[in-house]
Formats: sequence, structure tokens, C-alpha cells
Amino acid sequence: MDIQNPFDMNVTSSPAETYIRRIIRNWADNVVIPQRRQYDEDWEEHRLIGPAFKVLLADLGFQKALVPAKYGGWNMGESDYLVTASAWMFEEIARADAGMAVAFGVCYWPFVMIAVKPHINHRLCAEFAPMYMNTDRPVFSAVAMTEPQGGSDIENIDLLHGKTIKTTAFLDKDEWVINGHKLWPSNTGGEADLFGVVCTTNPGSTRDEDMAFIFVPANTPGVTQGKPYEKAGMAGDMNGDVWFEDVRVPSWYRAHGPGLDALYFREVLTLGMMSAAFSIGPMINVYEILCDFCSRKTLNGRPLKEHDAIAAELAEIVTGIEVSRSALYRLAYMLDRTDIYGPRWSPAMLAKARLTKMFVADRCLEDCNRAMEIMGTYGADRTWDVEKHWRDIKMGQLYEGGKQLAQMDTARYYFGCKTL
Amino acid sequence: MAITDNNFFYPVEWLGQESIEIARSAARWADSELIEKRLTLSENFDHQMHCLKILAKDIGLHGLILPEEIGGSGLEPSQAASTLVRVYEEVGRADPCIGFLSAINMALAVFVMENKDATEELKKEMASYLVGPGAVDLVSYVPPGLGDNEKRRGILMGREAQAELVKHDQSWSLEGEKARPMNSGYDARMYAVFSSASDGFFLAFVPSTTQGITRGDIIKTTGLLASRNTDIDFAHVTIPQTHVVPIDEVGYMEVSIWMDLLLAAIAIGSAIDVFRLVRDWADNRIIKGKGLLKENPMDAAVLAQVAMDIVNSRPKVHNLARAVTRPESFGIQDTRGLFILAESIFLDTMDRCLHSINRAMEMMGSAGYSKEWNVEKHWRDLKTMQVYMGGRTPMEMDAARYFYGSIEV
Ligand SMILES: Cc1cc2nc3c(=O)[nH]c(=O)nc-3n(C[C@H](O)[C@H](O)[C@H](O)COP(=O)(O)OP(=O)(O)OC[C@H]3O[C@@H](n4cnc5c(N)ncnc54)[C@H](O)[C@@H]3O)c2cc1C
Repeated sequence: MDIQNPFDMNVTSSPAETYIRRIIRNWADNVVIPQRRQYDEDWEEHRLIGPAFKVLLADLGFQKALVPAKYGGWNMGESDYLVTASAWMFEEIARADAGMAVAFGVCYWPFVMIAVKPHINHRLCAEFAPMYMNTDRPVFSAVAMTEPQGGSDIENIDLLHGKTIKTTAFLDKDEWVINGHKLWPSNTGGEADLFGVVCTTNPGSTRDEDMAFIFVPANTPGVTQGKPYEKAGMAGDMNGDVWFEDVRVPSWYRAHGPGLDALYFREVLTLGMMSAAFSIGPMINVYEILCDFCSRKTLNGRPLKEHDAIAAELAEIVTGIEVSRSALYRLAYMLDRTDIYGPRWSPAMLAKARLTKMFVADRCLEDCNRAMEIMGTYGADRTWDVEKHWRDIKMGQLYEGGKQLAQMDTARYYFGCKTL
Repeated sequence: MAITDNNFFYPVEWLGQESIEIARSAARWADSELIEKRLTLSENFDHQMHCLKILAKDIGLHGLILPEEIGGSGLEPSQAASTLVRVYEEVGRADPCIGFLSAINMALAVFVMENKDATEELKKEMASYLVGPGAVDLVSYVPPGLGDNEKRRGILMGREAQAELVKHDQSWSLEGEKARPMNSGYDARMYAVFSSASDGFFLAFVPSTTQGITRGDIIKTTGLLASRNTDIDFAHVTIPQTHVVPIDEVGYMEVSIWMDLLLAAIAIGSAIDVFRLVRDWADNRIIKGKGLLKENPMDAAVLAQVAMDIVNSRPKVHNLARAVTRPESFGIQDTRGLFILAESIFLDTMDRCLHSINRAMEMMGSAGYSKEWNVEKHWRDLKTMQVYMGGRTPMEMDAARYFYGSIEV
């Protein structure tokens, strides 16, 4: 990869990073970026987006990454650099298309429960690994959490401990019988192959022990995926309704069991906040676009970048990117170094992750707004791609419990609040 | 009407009974033609153009400020400013894009109708587009703006003309490559092209069928989708003298003042509709498994901001309308003063309305992001409108020129 811009510098300076970044960059530049202006119209069918995913997930093999090596995977789940590596992979994909980066990240998400040290569930890894290994088609996973009455409450685990979850799982001999209605999981709308379903074994309970995370292959009888929703952006990620009607799976499809499911689900939530990278990647691309635009276009006869007032705005934009990036990689480091900072499922780590994502999402949106204003009329053009990034970045503020839950989790940890 | 009348305060006393009636018609049109049909027809181009026609011609918005002798109602534009603001609020509530299309055409019409150098022929032609039979004929504005590093044209107030005029004996010829109109470049019946010439600046009015005009493909944009835009090439386009009107700084400001005013009114209406949507959504949304979301102090604070942004900006926009009608009562001595007031209020109104909508989206989580709720459409439309006025920095430079006498900026 040519060093084209200051953001191309390695973050962790490991040889693996350079190598993997280059692979993703080539895919992004050759497969995604030439076509991405047509992605908005592709939200329902993924005729263009689907083949691009095939290259990334199946042909290049990224769908194997988290799975332990002995089942054919890349063993990233046991890496000491899992989170940092995820951050730069997400950032690199999001530079081309944040929606695809979300979908990509969510492919790994349920596997955080079972394929990441120190709580690898070998039986389940062995069970599901072949789906991802022995195929030349992209395989999508989903975490089915959000429900019609609200997603945030389910994520608000330290306060509610799963109390509001309406999707039920009851044991019938050696099978779970699952019933419920989920909304919005990434990679649904017909795309999901495997679900990690957040459910309750005792509706209304506030005991962690009653929260269950159960794996459900999408072709299990009783699972129905609705059509994708049409959204403001993020066409690369499909979201829809999912219904579970008397769905039966073996009892050992539950990730770990009473208490542990809720504990490790907190880690799923914490790692979900690496979604901050989905806001930074697009901003790096916005920077690249501005370099070109602000050299070509003039204000008052001077190239935009030589106009002091515009230069001040440009400086704000790169400041936002650099500071957001520092925050992201600092968080990634802390989450990788569990030996120093403790487990990823602690309230401390969840709070640090939530505030990082909240800060980055807000700042990147603000900076993308700046970029559009600098570009004037052209800022709203699909041909310059900045407006696409703006629509995508907005989502960073909204998912995963929204800004308000992030604020509450943060205040709760830092100020010892008891009733939020 | 209830939502715009009862919730957010503005100086009602500046509106006469007749104005209130016109606003009521616009409100009925907004509800029945657009808001009730959103789920199926939200960004359908043909439907939007059909609704624009009803508004402009059947309800008569476009004729309001045209002289009676050319088919209008004969209202003096400056006297109609408050009425127009009230009507455009209703239009913005229904669909900011329809408001935008109409507003740009109205601003250009005011410039032509009030301009002593504009010929009767041009005035009549403009009037026929606005109030003549059939569909609305759109006039597309090609404003001065960002320049191109490889081509230099005349600069007025930091903004560069996108086309050049050359004078011949009986006519003018127009040259310009990849000029970017503000609105409707693809569908326009006529272009109003801000152009530089050896002896100043002109607004050249060119029918879109004139030889030498080439339109590109429709450019996809964030919002304002019914304003289908494209780049235009003008190659040796001949324009009769009747269709070229000189324009100086003051003339440019006059056009901008009307755009600032009407677009700000649209933004208010748009934010009011988003307020209604988030209010309805929040009415029975439960949080933390028990209480209503709106009873949670933090969420209540966000919801309050959604409303307070509107409360803060609406009176300002009505004040601007009043200042257009009676500049002397605001101590405004010339067009420059009014222009600075208009730009400042426009910028602030856009900021606040976008802030309000952003916070509403935040509150609504995924619902705010899905097309189904229409909040995201208001968000896209307003952002597009904001950048179409050229961005913040050129306006800040205008203020620096006005208040500090800066010259080089
Ligand atoms: C592109 C995209 C991808 C997504 N991916 C997934 C996925 O993979 N899996 C999945 O399950 N869901 C997914 N979602 C859903 C998303 O995570 C939820 O929409 C989000 O968590 C918010 O939930 P909600 O929309 O139900 O709003 P609600 O939970 O009803 O929240 C409404 C409002 O209440 C606020 N609020 C929340 N908690 C509190 C509190 N304690 N106190 C005060 N206020 C509070 C919120 O900030 C929000 O503003 C996705 C959504 C999108 C658009």
C-alpha cells in the first residue's frame, strides 16, 4: 500500500497489520469503491453488495477469522490483538462502506460468546465452524437482541438484567423451544445463516441466570425472516423482522448456561462499541476526498485549502479524526490487555467502551457536516461520496442502545449512580 | 394547522385575516395531499410535481406577488413577506423539497418583477411559468459559488460566476462548462444564470431548449430529490437582449434575502413536523421496562431541546419577514443591512432546525433512521437545503465585510 495519506500509518506496527490492511484496501478500492454509488438502490436485493461480500468473506476467507485453528479458522479469538485487529479491519472496510463494515463486524459478533478466550465453547465452535469453512459463499451471522418494545432496555443489562426480554426459551427434554419477535438485527432481511438469540428462560425475571444466549441456525423450522427495511443509509447492512415460532434447537446450543451467558453477553456489548471504527473509516475517506476537492475548487479565487477560513475547518476535521482514532485504539489496547485492565465484561470496560463510541460517533458526524458545508452544493452529491458517509455515520449515534444508554452506563460507572 | 398555530409562538398580529386563510389552505393541502400519503408516495417525483402544481396554481401561491396585469393577485412582495413565511412553514411541514422548488422560483420572480431593467417581455414570460395553465414550469438558478482552479471568472463577494457573457450587436452569447444550478437543472424550463461579462455581472434568462445547452444525467443527491439536478454546459448560447438583466452586489443580495427568508420558513415547518412525529412516537414509548420515556428526565431534556430549537428560531424568521416589510422599524438603512440579517437568521435557523431534527432522530433510535417514519427525509432535505445556499464560510465572509470592513476575504 502506498502511503497516500497520514492516516495510512500503521497503528500497531505489526507486520500482520500491514499485510491484512493491504488485502482489505485492495478489496475496498477495486471491488467496493467503484460500485458503491449504486449501493443505495441495492438495499433490498444486494445484487451488487452480495458479490462484494462473497469476495471478502468467502474468497478472501475473512468469515473464518474468529474460529479456532483446530476447526479450520484463523484463531483470532485467541489472539492477544483481537480487538486492535478488529478495529483496523473495521476501519478499513468502513472507509469504503460503513454499512458493509457493520454487517462484517456483526458476522463476528455472536462468536464473541463462544470463540474468544478465555471462554471458548469448543463443542459449539466445532458444530458451526463447517458452515463457514466448507463453502465458497458468504455466510452471515446475526445477534438478535432488539425487540419491538425497545432495544436499549435489553442492552441495559446492569440495571434490568434481561427483565424486558419477551423472547422466551423453555427446555423441553433436551431441546430449547424458542418463541419471540426480534427487530433490526444486522444481516437479517433474509440474509442471516446463524443467529445468536438473546432470550429469557423466565419472563420478567431480573436474575442474570435467566438470561440466555442461544444459537439458532436460520434454516431451523419456525424461523422466519421478514423483508429488509429501507433506511436513510447503510444499504450494505440488511435489517428486518425475525420471528421465532416454536423453534427447537438442542439444549447445548445455549452458549454457556445460567449466569455465564449474561456475563459474556456484557463482553458482546462492550466489543460492539468497536463500532466507533464504523464512523472513523468513512471520515478517513472524507479526508481523502477533501484533499482532492479542496485543491480543485476555489473560493474568492484561492484554492479552498489555501483559504484560511476553510483551512481552519479542514484542520478541525483532521483533528477530529486523529483524536477519535487515538481514543479508539487506546480502547482497543485496553480491551486486548485484559491482564492489566481486567475482563472485558466489567462495568468499567463497558463504560469506557460506551463513552468512546459516543464521543467518536458525535465528533465524526459533526466533522462530516463540516465537510459537506465546505463543499457547498457538491456536498450533497452522491458523486462525491461525502453525503453517503454522512448518512451512514449518523447511524453510529443510534444503534446499540442509543446515546442515552451510553450516557447512563458511563455516569453509572464514573459516579457510582444507583438508580439510573 | 393546530400544530403550527398552537404550539410554537410567533407574532400573529403581523398576519391579517386573509393571510391566515391562505395559510389554512396550505395546511389543508399539506395534510391531505402529502402527509396522509407519505407511506406510499413520500419521494415520488410525479406526485411531488402534482402537489406543487396544486399549491402554486390552484391555491395560488405563485400568483400572490405578481402584478394583476400579468395574472397575479397584485400584492407587493415586501408587504406579503409575513404571509409567505406562514405559508412556506406549512409547505415545509409537508415536504421541504416542494417548498424549495417553489421558493427559488418565487425569489427569482421577485427579482424580475421589481427590477427596473427587466423588460416587460421577460416579466410576462416569467409570469406565464408561475401562473400559466398546466404544470409548473420551473426556473433554475445558476448562482455564483465555488470556482474552478483551472478556469477563472468574475468574482462577486468572494463567489465566482459559473458562466461568462459576451456582448454582440443585438444579443449576448453565454459560455460555461459544467455549471451547477441550485435547483431543478434537469427539468427546468428556463435557467437564470449569474454570469460575468467584461463590464460587470448579469442574470441571463435562458430557455432550456435554446441551442447550445447540454444537460448531463440526473445527479443523485442526499435530499430534495424532486429538485432533479444536473451539470449544464452552455456553448455559444445566444440570448436576446431582452433576457439579460444587470445585477450588482445589491441585486445579488436581493435574490439571496428572499431565498434566505423562504428557506428558513420551510426549515421551521420541517422541524415542526419532526416535533409532531417524535411527540407521537414518544407518547407511549416505555423505557427501563416501566416508565414512559418522556417521564425520564434525561429523555425529557432531549425532547425539550427538539421543541426549544423551534421556539427559538420561529420568531426570528417572522422578524426577518417583518424586516423585509418594514426595514426602517428595525433600523435597517439599506439592502446590505437586510442581507446580513437574512443570512444570519438563515444560518442560525438551519443550524437549530437541523439540531432539533438530529436530536429527534437520536431519541427515536432505529425508527428515526428508517424511511417509514419520514424523520430521516426531513433531515436529508434540510441538510441539502443548507449546503445549497453555498455553505457557512462565504456567509461568514459577508458578515466580516459588513461589520469589520474586511476587503480581501
Ligand atoms: C443499521 C442498524 C443495525 C442494527 N444492528 C442490530 C443488531 O445487530 N442486533 C440487534 O439486536 N439490534 C440491532 N439494531 C437495533 C439497534 O441496536 C436499536 O435500535 C437500538 O439499540 C435502540 O433501540 P430502539 O430503536 O428500540 O429504541 P429504544 O430502546 O426504544 O430507545 C429509545 C430511546 O430511549 C433512550 N434510552 C435508552 N435507554 C435509556 C435509559 N436507560 N434511560 C433513558 N433513556 C434511554 C435511547 O437512547 C433512545 O433514544 C440495529 C439498528 C440499525 C439501524
